[in-house]
Amino acid sequence: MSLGRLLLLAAWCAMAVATSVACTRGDTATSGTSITAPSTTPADPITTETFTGTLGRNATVFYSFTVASYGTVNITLDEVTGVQVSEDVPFEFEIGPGVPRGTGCSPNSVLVVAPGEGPHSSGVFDAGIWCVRLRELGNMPGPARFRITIAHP
Amino acid sequence: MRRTLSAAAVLLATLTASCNSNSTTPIITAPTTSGTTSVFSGSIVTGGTATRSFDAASAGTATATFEFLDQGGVPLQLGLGIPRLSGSGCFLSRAVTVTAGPGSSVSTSVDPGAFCVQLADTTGQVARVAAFRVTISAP
Amino acid sequence: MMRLLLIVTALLVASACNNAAQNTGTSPSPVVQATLQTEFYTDTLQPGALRFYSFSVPSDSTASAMLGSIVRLDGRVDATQRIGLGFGYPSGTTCTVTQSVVTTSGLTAQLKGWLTKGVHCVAIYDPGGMTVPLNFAVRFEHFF
Repeated sequence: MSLGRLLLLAAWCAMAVATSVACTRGDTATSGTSITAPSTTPADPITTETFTGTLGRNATVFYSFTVASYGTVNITLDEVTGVQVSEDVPFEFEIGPGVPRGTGCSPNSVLVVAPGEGPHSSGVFDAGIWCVRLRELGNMPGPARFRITIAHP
Repeated sequence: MRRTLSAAAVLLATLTASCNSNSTTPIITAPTTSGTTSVFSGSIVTGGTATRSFDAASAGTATATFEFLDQGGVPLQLGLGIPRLSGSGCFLSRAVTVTAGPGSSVSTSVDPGAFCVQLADTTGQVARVAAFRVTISAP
Repeated sequence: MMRLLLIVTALLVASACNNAAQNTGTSPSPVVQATLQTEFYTDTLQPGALRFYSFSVPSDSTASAMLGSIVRLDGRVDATQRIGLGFGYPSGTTCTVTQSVVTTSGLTAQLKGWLTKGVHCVAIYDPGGMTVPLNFAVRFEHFF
């Protein structure tokens, strides 16, 4: 075999190997597509829901709400009315956000607060269904009316 | 030229065969089951209940048959249901009042899963304690 | 000899390219093993009321519910009372039902549905016509 033919054969084999490697490597990325990392800036609360009802002594109530997008949720125990407690009894209640579970709301965190200006609980939540739970701590002599405000994206 | 083409054809056939990975998958047929029959026996006291859990391996009909009570003519409630999580007791779906003997049974359709049979002296007519036997058939 | 080498090389390249074309080139996604969970919900249903039980599913998946037992407060098994059984999502102080059936009790699942990832509830309600409170037992299955 002549030198020229050897060189031609070598070039052909090299081209074949290079083509095979390129083929088995799979598809190469095509232009025109880009992946944007999701924004991590929490959305501000734009929706306000009000939860009202009657809370009995040692009772627990809860309210479920849907957060439309990752953002800040503010919860305020605005007022508890219709009951009188003596001055030496703390007028406080347990409140906290959580996930609806079973026949109740499983809290992620709880705070003991007095009704009034808030927010009493503020946090950042993923989109989805959440709940707020209110519990009477045994200080009230009887049932009372309450109002809770929930602000969320 | 002819030999070159023949060799290439053989090689192409070999490559094609090695690239094809069509293997036939054996067809596995699940064995058919004819159900199970078990005996639930014990004693029942005045106003008491006796419960036994059982499993249905497939969808079908479950039947509990009240075969024997050593106090003749006493009516008892025989029922089928789903067992309580605590393991004791049965949430009844179907129940009949029966006396021991032929034709004293309760049946209902079931999915695969855990179920239970309950025998109860709802009228308090059992004198102190009575021995019983119930047959359970499940798919 | 030269022609044979060229033909063999061409066939090898063609074969490699064919195998590559059958591969999409995407790396497999990790498989999340989900477990089928069985839960019970027992309670008392008042006439005109709705009772519910919340649960979470980790991914879009199937679920089923069996209204297994309806018993009057005096202990009598009620095999003829028709009750509403549904899946939905917790909202406010209730469960907003999105798929439901009205059925008597039984030991086969009366409701089967497709649930999206997230929080859901199984609801039992009076569809109209209840005159006395009833104790009920529901067994439902979902992936967890």
